[in-house]
Amino acid sequence: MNKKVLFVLIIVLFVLFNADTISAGFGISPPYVISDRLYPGAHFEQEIVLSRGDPKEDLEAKITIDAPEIEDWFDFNPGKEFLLPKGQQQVSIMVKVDVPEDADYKNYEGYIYIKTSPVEGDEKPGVSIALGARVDIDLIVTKLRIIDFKIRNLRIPDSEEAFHWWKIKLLGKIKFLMNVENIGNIETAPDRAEIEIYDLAWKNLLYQGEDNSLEKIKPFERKDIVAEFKNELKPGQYWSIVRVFKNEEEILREEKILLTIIPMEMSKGDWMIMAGIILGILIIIGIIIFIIWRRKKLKK
Amino acid sequence: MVEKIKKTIPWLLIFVLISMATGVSFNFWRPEVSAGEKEVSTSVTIENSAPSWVGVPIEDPISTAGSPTKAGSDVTFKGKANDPNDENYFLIICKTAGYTTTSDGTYPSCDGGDEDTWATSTATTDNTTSTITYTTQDGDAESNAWYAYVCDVNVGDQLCSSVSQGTGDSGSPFIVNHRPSFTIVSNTSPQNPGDSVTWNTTSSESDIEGGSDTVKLMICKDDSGITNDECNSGISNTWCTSTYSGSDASCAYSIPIPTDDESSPYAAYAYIVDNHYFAAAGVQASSSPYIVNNVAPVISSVKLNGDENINLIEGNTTSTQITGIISDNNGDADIITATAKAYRSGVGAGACTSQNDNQCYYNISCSLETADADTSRNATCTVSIWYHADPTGDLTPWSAETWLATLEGEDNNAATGSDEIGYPVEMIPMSALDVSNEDIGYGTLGVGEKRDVNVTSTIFATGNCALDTNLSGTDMTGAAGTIAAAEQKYATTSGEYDTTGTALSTGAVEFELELAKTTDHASTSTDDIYWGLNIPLGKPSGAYSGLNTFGAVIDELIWP
Repeated sequence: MNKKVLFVLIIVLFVLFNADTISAGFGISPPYVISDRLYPGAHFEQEIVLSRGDPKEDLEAKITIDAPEIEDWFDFNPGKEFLLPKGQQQVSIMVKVDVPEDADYKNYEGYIYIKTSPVEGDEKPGVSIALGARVDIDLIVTKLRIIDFKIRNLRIPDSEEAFHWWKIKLLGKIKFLMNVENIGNIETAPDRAEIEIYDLAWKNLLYQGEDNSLEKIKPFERKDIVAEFKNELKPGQYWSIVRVFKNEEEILREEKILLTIIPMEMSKGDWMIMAGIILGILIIIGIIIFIIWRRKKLKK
Repeated sequence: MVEKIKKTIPWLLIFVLISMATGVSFNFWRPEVSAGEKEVSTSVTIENSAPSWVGVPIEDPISTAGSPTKAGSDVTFKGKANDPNDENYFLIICKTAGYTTTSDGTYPSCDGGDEDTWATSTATTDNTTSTITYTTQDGDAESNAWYAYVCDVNVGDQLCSSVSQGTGDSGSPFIVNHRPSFTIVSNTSPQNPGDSVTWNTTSSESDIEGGSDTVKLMICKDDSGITNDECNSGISNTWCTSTYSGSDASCAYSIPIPTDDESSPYAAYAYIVDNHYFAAAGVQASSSPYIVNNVAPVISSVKLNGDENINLIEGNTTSTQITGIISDNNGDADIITATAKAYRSGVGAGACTSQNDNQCYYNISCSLETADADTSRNATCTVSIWYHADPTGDLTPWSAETWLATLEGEDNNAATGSDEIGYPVEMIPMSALDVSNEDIGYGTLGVGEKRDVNVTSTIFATGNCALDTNLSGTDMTGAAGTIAAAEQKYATTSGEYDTTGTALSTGAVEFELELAKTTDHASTSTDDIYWGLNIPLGKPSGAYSGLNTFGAVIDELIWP
């Protein structure tokens, strides 16, 4: 009887109405980690941005990998578990791939799952909904050696005119900055950078130069590198055409840039440094003369 | 008798005259020398003598081919005479040799009269210098010989010196420099800043003594005139000057950058001089202003999102910028507005003519850096990109494309220039979703009871990709037990629990939702998932809670 009563009483009460939705939308970009040019020993990184349009509360994010062959190739910054802070619409994570030296040359696939959940203690009754996303993994370890770049953000900061003092003429430098991403798989640099400088009317070619000693960049790395050119220009504005070459003649980027040469301004500190250098030289010369004089005197 | 006397008188006169002539011939009136005292009268007649030159006549200042006398100016002659009779003298300068004296001691004249005379002095004291001038005329020949004489003032026997033409540079001839001819001035404007405007003239020189004379053009900024062959106030008041040339002098001025077209025409006045600094007649100092064209702005260094790929924000807009430099050779103040547009490369700038939040962001307004009197202004154009903007990364229908942007600048004459970015960027695919309701409300169920697959959860595509979804769930836990996740079932259509749907797994399982990419944020793409639940026997009463996870999965190609 008691069992019957109990059975009747076993009415499962799910208070699931109005269970809070913990989501306010969630997304990732890009939803993949892809590279077709890895090689044994390669280190490859890719950023994935986790996004919430309306981040009203903190969430915990947890990463799991479903890629049995290559799971241990992966590492994540800031880790496999991290916080998605309230109020922050985008959180970047860096997926790091270290290909073992003994990796086979083939295609590797799998998934990375990113799940969000309320921070501990925020669980609510009922069937809550959490959001997540899947990252597709598609990696190819290849024997091919690939040279390729992306050249971004070409710019020439304002340059000071050359320094003239008495008969001393110290040429200034025009610095051409570029952000280079090595998307190939060997350490290399763009072949060279060229610059042509014209007057504002594009009538006269005032300077033409090249820099073929550009800094090399490791595979899959990205950094700002600088090409330097002589600056014999007077203060003013000029047009320039800059070109970055991949091989001898293949132009990776070409762009016209307005450059500005500003008047040389030596600060008080600069003058003091120069005065100090001159004074130092004079003291050294004086000491040498004194030593020579002293030795001659002792010989006598 | 009277008649006889009358007839005798002529013969008497003849006799007397013959007697006197005889007396003179034989010197009957010569005083006789007498040995004794005797008064004797003496007499002598001194003849007039011609004056002679002291030195030679000169031009002072000299008038030579190298230093000619400008037409209209005076040639000054100087001469000095010594008259043996200490008489005053006249200095006369003739055009040809030869003179005519007077019997009354007044002004002698050149043989040809006034037409033959350059100048005649007044009576000048002996042994002093006589100075006379001749005012040259435009009609004078360039080279003009002269012949100088000094003549005394003797009455009845006026005598003149020998002719003299002086010597060397100060001697004959004197040279008259004529004004250059200057009839037309024009210039080649309008021109652009950075180009040259050239002033051309019709100007010439006729003087050839000592080598042909040359002309020089000066273009001055005002009409205050010239000094020698420079504009008054010097170079700061000068647009350009020519070199000396035989004719048709011209000069060019390179219009600097920047030069404001709104301030043109720029005043300019033309002056011609010859190589002796003799100003031209004709259109001297005439105005010939030049005009500077308006030129269109030039755009450079256009960047979308700083050359970085764009990561969108789920379900929202992402603020990004199109930046660039707008240059105008009329000066940066000429640039008044800038607009931009961003678009998928497959659409292109030409087709991006109206707003489409998926592929074309049109007519984006820009802010301009404050003008600072150079040629350029930085433009910054902020645009909010919707979350459903077409992606161009891998695994998308537009993976071969990129996003581009064009910046357009406009000046105060409505001239425009535009340029496209140099580095196309990717619109990174974003797989994102939202779930509307919020909950999966199975309600209150008895043990052994089943809730058909009809509890709805609505999925929203809040990224820029078509979606499938990964579904997983935790076992539901209550105070006295758990209900396995697999007791939940899901399907895209509702139905009875036993015949509909897929059992939920604790591990993520892809569910082919085929949720279309959102193309309008006012009508987000949605799809429903239906849920059902079985309460197994033996479960204690109470509240159970669990967590179902909806994972965004980018849909396989091809999307709509």
